[in-house]
Amino acid sequence: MSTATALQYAQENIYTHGESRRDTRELPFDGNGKLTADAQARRCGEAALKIKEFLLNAPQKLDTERLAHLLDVYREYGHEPAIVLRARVFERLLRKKTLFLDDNPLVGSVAGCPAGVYVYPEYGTDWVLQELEQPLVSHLGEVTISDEEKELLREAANFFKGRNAEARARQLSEQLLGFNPGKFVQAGLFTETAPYTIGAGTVDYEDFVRRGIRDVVREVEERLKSVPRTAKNSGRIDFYRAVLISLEALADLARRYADLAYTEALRTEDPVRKAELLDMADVCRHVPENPPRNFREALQSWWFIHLGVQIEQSGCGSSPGRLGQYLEPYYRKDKAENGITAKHAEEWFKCLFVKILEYGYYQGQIVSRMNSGHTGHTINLGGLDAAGRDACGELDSVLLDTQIALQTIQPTLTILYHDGLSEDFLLKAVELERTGLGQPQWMNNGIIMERLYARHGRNGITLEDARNCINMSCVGTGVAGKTVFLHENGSFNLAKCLELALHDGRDPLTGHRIGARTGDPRNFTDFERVFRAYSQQVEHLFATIRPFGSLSNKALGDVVPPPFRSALYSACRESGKNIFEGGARYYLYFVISSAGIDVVNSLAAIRHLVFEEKTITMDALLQAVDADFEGYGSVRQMCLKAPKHGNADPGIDALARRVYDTSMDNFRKAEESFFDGHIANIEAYSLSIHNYFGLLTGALPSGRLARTPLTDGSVSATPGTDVKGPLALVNSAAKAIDTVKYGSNHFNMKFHPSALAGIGGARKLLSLIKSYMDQGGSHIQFNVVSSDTLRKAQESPGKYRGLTVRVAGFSAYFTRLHKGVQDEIIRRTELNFR
Amino acid sequence: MEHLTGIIYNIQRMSTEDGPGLRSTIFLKGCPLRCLWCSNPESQSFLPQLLVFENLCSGCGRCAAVCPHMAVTAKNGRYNRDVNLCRDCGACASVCPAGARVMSGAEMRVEEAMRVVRKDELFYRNSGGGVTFGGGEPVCGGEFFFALLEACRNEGYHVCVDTCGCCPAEQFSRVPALADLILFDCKHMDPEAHRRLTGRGNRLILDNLREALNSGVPLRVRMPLVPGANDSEENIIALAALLRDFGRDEVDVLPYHAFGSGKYGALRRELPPFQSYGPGKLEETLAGFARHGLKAVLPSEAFGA
Repeated sequence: MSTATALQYAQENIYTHGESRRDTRELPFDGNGKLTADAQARRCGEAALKIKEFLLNAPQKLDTERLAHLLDVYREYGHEPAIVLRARVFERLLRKKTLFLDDNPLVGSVAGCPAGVYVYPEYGTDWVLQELEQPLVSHLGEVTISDEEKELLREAANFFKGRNAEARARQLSEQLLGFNPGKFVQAGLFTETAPYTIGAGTVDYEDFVRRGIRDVVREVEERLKSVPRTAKNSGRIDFYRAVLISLEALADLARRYADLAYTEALRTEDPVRKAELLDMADVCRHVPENPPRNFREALQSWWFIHLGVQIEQSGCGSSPGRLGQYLEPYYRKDKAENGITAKHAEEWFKCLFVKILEYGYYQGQIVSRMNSGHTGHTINLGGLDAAGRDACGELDSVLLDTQIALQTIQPTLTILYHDGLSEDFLLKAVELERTGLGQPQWMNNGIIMERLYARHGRNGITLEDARNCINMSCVGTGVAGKTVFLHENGSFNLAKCLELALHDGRDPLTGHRIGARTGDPRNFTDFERVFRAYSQQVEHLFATIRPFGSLSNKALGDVVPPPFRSALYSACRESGKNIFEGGARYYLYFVISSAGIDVVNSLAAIRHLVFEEKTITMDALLQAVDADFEGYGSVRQMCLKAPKHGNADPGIDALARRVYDTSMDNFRKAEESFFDGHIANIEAYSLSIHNYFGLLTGALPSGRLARTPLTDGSVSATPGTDVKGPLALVNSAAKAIDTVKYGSNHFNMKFHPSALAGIGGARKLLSLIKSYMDQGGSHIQFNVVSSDTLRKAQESPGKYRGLTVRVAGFSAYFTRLHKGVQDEIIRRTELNFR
Repeated sequence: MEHLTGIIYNIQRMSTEDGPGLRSTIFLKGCPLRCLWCSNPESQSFLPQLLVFENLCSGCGRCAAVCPHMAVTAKNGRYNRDVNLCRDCGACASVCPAGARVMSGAEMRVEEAMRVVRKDELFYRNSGGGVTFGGGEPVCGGEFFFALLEACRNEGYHVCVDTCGCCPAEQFSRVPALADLILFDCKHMDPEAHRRLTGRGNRLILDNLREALNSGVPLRVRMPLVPGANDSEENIIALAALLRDFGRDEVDVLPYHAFGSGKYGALRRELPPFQSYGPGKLEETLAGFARHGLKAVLPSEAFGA
C-alpha cells in the first residue's frame, strides 16, 4: 500500500470511527491508534527501496562537523588521559552532532547528512595534507567538500600534524628501531596501520542488546567503586570513567532521536506518518538503555550500539556476527505474543540493510584503492550452537530472503557451512547466489573451529567459544563478541618480495634498496637457489616491518584508545583495560598478505622455462621482465604459456603450498608479540589490495605486465589462466594453502549461470562447495557471470579463456564462439538462463 | 587392455547435464552420422583435426612460418588456412600464442584418460555423479571404449553412455550390461527423413533402442529438437507410439542451439541451416508433446531430484 492510499484509509477511518464495517485488517491503525504491524512493515519495505535507490546515485559527502567538535574537545580536555579525552570526543559528537530523519523508521546515522562520511585526522594527517590540493576521490566517485569545509579540514590536519597516531608510530620507530617505513610504503611492499581507522571485527552485541546500557552502566559503576584507589590502578580508573562517559553518551543520542521524532510527529499533517514517528520516539526512549520489548526494539537497539562503534571510529571490518540467531528470541516472542510474521521481519531487515549500505568512510586514496569501499559488514548464518547442533534459526532464512529481495552490496551474508545445514536453507542460499550478487560467501565451520584452537590454544579457548565462531570482517574469523580485530601492519605484498629476489634486494620501479642482498639471480644454478632468495626476502622483510607494526599499535593505544569499543567486550570491563592494552579475551591480530598466486605463477614459469625446459636463460628472462616485455613479445608468450595455478597440476599445487608455508614460517621467525600471550597471524586475502599493490609492482615472470592488477583472493586463479575447468580450479584452490594455520583464505570463482540452472544445478553447486570444504578449503564465493562480464570477454578474450558455457552434450569456451552466438548467450544470460 | 589407445577430443570436467550429479564427460572422436544440426562438428571425423578460431588470431604470423604444407592463408592481418592444403598436422597449433589454432583430438591411452577422470572423484561421490561417454559415437570407439568403460566400472564410478545408437548390434549389445545409464538419441522416426537429415537410415538405431529398452538398463530417450527438421506433429506421434510400447511417457528434449557455429567456422564449414527457437516457439512445440501423451523434459530438469 502506498503512502497515499494509507492516508486515504486513515482519513476514512477517522471520519467513520465506530461506524465502519470495513475489515479492520486493511486499516493502517489498530484499536489504540497505532500503526498495525502490516502497515508498518509495508512502509519499511517502501522506505528501504527508496533509500537504496537514493544511495546508489548519491555521492559521498565529507561531513566536517566532526572536525569542529574534535578540535574543541582537544582544546578543552587536552589535559585528560588519552582514554578519557577520546571518551569526551565521542560524548561531544553524540550530544551535539546534527541529527536527521529520513523515511527509514529504523533511526540513526553516523554523519549529520545522508551518505555522509567522517574524517579522522587524529589517526594520520599525511594523506589529508597531501590530498587536500587535489579532488578527493573515493570508490564512489568524487567526494564533495566546500572551500570552507576544506579550510576546516586543513586546520584540523595541521592541529594533529605531529601528534596523530601515524606520527607517533614513526617517532617511536625512529627512536627505538632507527627505521623509517617511507621507502617501503612507496615501493609497494606494505601499508601501515596507524594512519587508518579500522572496523571493530565484532563486539558483544548480543549481551548489550539483551541487558540494555543501563544494566552495563550499573556493572561498570560497581567495578569502578571496587577498584582500590592506588597509583597503580589509576589507568583502570581512567578506563572506567571513560567507559561511563561513552555509555551515557549513547543513551543520550537515543533520547535525542526520540525528541526529534516526537517534534516531527507534532509537525506533520499526515496521520500515518505521525503514528509512525510517535512509535519511533517511543522505541528510542526505551532502547538501547533497557532490554528490548519486541523484535523491532531489539533491531533498533542493535543499530544504536553499532552506530556508537562506527561513530567512534569508522572503518572496514565490522561484522554484526550471528545477527539473526541472537535476535531470534525477540522474534519468537513477538511472533507468539503479537503475531508478527517472517515477512514483517524481512521488511525490518531491509531497513537495517540500507542503514548498513549508507555507512561509509573516506581515508584517502591508498585505502580507497585497497578496499574499494568495502565496509566488511558480514552477517553470519548457519554454524553450530554451544551444544554442537545446527544453529540456524528462522531469521537466518529471513535474512536470505531479505537479500534476495533487496540485493545490496553491504551487508554481505556468510554461511558457516557444515553438513548438518538443512536442505531448504541451502537451496535458498543458492537462490541468492543466482542473483549474481556474489553472496552468500561460504565458510567451512569445521576449519574455522580448528583454526581458533590452533590460534588460541595458549589462550585456553573453550569448546563453546570455538563453536561460537564467525566471519568477523571480509574473511577474517574469530569468536563472536570476544575477538578484537587489529592489524599488526595493514597489508604485505608477496610479489614485491619476489621482485626484490630477482633484483638482489633493489626495487626496480623506485630504485630503493629495501630488500636483503640475496645475490644476482643470473648466477643461480638451480631452482632451489631462486626459491631460497625469495624466502630470504620474505624473512628479511617480515623481520623489518613486524616490529614497526607493534610500535604502530603502541602508538594507536597511546593516541587513540577507543573507550566505547572496548566497553563492548566483557573481558575489557573485567580487567579495566582497553583493547590496545590486551584487555580482550581473544585477538585477531594480523597482516593481510596478498599476491601469493602471482609469486607461485612466476616461480613456476622460472622453474619450467629456465631450469626444466631450458628454453630461456635467466638473463634473457630478466631482460624481458625489466623491459616490461616491450620488444619481448615472444618471451611473454612463453611466460604466459608456462604452467599456472588453478589447473589441478600436482607440481604447481605443491609449489603454491610451499610458497604459503614459507611465508608463514618466515613470519613466525620474527619473534614479535605486542600482546602477551596473543599471537599475530597472516590473513591471506585481497579486498582490492591486489589492485593497489599492482600499481606499484613491476612486470613478473608469470607474464603479468608492470603496474597492472595482481591476482585477487589468495587461492583464486589469475584471470584467464585456469583452463582445466571449475573442478580443477576448486581442487587446486583447496590445496594451495594451509587454511588452519592461516587466518583465512579467499577464493573467488566465476560461474556462468548455465551451470546453476534448475534444482539440479543448485544441488550440483552444493556438492561442489562440499567437495571443496572436504578437502580443507575454508572460503569460497561465486561471481555468477553477468552479461556485462560476457561483453568484456568479447572485447578481451585473453582474460576470459577459461569461461565455458555448458549445454547438454556440448561444450565450448565462450571466447571461441561466433560473435552472433556470443550475443545470443548474453541475451539469455540477462534472462538468467532459464 | 591398458595399451589400447583412442582419439579423445575433450574430457569435460564438471559436466552438469549429461547424467546425474557432477560428471566428467569423455568425448570420443568419430561418428557414423552427419546430422545437419550437429553442435560438435569436430566430433564427426575419426581423426585429429585443426580448428582455427580466426576471431582470436593476434596476427603474429608464427603459423605461417612453421606450416610444412604452405597451407596458411592471410587476410586483413589475420591468418587462416587453405583446407585443401592443410593436413591437420598441428605444427601451427603448437606455436600459436593466442590459442586461435588448436588441435581437436589427441590419441590417449586408457590410463591417461583415467588419470584425468580420477581427479574429480570426490565431486562424483558428493554429488552422485560419475563419468559419461559422449562423442561422436562412443561405441564406435570399439575396444578402446570398452576398456575405458570397464576401467571406470572397476573404480566404482557411475557410468553413463550417451549414444546415437548407430553402431553394430554386436558391439552395442555389450553396452547395457556395462552401463549404469544410457542416454539414447532418437533423431527421427521416419527412415527416409532420418537418412536425409543424418546421412543414414534409422533401422539399426531403432533395433538397438529396442534391445536396450528390453534389457532393463536405466535409459533416457533423448531427442535433439530441431526446428523444421524433426519437430513435426507426425514425428512426435510416432515417437510417442514407440515409447508407449515400452510403457514410457517421457522424453528428454535438447532444443537446437547455434552455439556450435564457431566450430563450423573453425573447420571452414558451412553453418547448419537452422535457427534456434524464438520466444514462445519452444513452449508451443513442447505443448505438442503433451498433446500426444509425452512429457518433454529439458536437460536442466532431467537430473534434478
